[in-house]
Amino acid sequence: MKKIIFIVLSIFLLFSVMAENTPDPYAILDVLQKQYSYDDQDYSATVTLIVEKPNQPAEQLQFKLFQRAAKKQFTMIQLLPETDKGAGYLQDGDNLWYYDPIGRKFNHTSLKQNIGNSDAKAGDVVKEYSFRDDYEATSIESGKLGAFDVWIISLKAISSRPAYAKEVYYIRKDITLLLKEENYSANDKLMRTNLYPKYTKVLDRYLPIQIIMRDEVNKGEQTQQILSEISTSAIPNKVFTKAYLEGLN
Amino acid sequence: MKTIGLAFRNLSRQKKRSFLLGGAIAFGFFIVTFVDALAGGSLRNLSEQFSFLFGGNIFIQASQKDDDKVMTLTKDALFIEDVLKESGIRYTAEGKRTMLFGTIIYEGQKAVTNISGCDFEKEKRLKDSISLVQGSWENMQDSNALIIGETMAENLGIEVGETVLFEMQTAKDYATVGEFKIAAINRDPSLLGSIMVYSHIAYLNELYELDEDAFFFYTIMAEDHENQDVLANQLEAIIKKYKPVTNRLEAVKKNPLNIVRGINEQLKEASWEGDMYSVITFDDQVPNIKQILSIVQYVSLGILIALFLVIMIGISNTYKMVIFERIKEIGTMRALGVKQKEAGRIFMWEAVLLSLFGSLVGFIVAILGMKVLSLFTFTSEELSLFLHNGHWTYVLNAGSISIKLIVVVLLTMLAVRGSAKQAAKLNPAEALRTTR
Repeated sequence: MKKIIFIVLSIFLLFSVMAENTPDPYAILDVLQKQYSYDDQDYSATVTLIVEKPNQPAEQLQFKLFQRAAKKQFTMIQLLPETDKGAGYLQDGDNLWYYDPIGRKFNHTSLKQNIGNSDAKAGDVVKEYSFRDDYEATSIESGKLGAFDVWIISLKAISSRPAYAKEVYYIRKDITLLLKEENYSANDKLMRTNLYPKYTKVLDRYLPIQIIMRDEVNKGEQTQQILSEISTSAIPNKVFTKAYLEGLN
Repeated sequence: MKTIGLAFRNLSRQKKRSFLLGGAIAFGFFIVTFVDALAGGSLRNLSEQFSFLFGGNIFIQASQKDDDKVMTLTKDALFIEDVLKESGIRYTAEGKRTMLFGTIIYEGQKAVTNISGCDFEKEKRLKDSISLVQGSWENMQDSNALIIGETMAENLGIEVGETVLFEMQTAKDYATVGEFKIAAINRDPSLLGSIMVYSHIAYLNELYELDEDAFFFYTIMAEDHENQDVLANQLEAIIKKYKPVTNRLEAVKKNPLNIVRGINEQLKEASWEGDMYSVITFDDQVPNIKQILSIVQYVSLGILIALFLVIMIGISNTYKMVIFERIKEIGTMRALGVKQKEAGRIFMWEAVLLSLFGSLVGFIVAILGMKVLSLFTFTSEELSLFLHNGHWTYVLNAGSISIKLIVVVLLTMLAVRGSAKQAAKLNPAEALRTTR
């Protein structure tokens, strides 16, 4: 009898310890979201995309990004290449437009659309989703990525806002930093892998300044997203208007 | 009647001159009839090829509304079949289609295309119309089998039996990718053929995350291709008796240049539960084709008027000469009691007969020309969109030809009017005294 009680207690203790060591995935995701959500202030940066495709010279796209996350507003103006200079994106609430400076026209677009010929989507740059509202965490496990201990969190999209049906996040344990992200289709095909090798600290938050987006469907294609000239200074209201984009040309 | 007889006699007296004047009119009429009919034929071929690509020329679909978001997803094929039966519309083909846009990827090569999901067992006509150059229909037993055009196969460097990826979006707008096995390569009947890619509807639905029995639209190839509008309105009226349906005529009124947009606006504004049906024609989807035809007809009318302004000068000058030649004859007629108006009327009737005969000859020559042209086979890929199996075809529009005929008659009468007036006003005594 004593033996049985001992075994039951041991199992109970083991499970308790395990439960304590396996945190709530949403708690980790909340911290992660806070890292790159500047909900309380304006945020601007220069976004450079280096697009690499097999047998083609690397292509460079550059944008100036102005974001006011609290009001779901952003403006992204293309700086490079010269031929597309002045083109841009404008978001105001649920409306997102792409501005064509040649036709002087605003066309509705989606955050899920790739930017130019790159593997980056407008949604990757402005990261507007909410882990709690848009995803369901289906599993969390402990693992290792290179030298780092990581939490591996699997997510399933539950709203239509995410670009992929399933995602797997590799998040550093010691500091909550996303190191790797895998994007899967609903039929479990790996479509894209994002690597986050470099971070910088802006206002006590870690911001990924280099992201490598590897296209797993089109082998050999990848896009590097580099952030520079990051600022949290106030942005004039006029920047988030159609007139501003039109006036630049 | 006597006046017409005299006019006819005058024309036949001067055969050479009448032949030249009538020839000029015939040439003008030939040009515009030829251009009009050929443009009509080309646009009809283009329209038919597009219709073939979409599986028909009339489309019926159901939409649902969820939180102001409109989704188009049709499930009740039986209801649509009952509606078609009730309408009595004659059609040569019918089918359920799911059509997805995406990118085919094969060893680093890409091709942007639509894949049409079809039920090959039921769509016999489609199966008959696809001419395979590689592979066989037996290969289509694989659930993920794909038929691509030979141009696309050549561009991708792919052969039967190989596997390609298709990158697309699901119903919930998530990025996804499907694997397809090339079952066969079909002959491109035209430039459009190169983007005609077919798969099993069930597999495409699975990739798009739709129920197996669902589809995007039900399509029929109505025999009366020219009257798609009337047939669509008829179907809409029948559906209205049983289920909510959008209003095509209202859409035409609000958005004559983009009827599909008009229907989409109705779907956006309306509130309903369950299915809201819409009936759309091929011409609604591609209104530009009808617009192009109207533009061609206006342009050819303009060309006709410009041509006839030149011809009118010739006719007018010739008739001034004719008056001078026939001055004694007019004097005699007037002296014998022919009234002023009647003398003028002879000339006007000459103009009418000349323009009618000239137009008739021009019309016949145009038809002969088109018949001869349609005997030749053209293999040019650029032209293939406008040809029917490599041949030019033509469509004669009775309304357009009638308008042009009236214009020709009126312009010729206008050219002769001055001379006719001059003839009518001639003093018989003075006319008889005149020496040439």
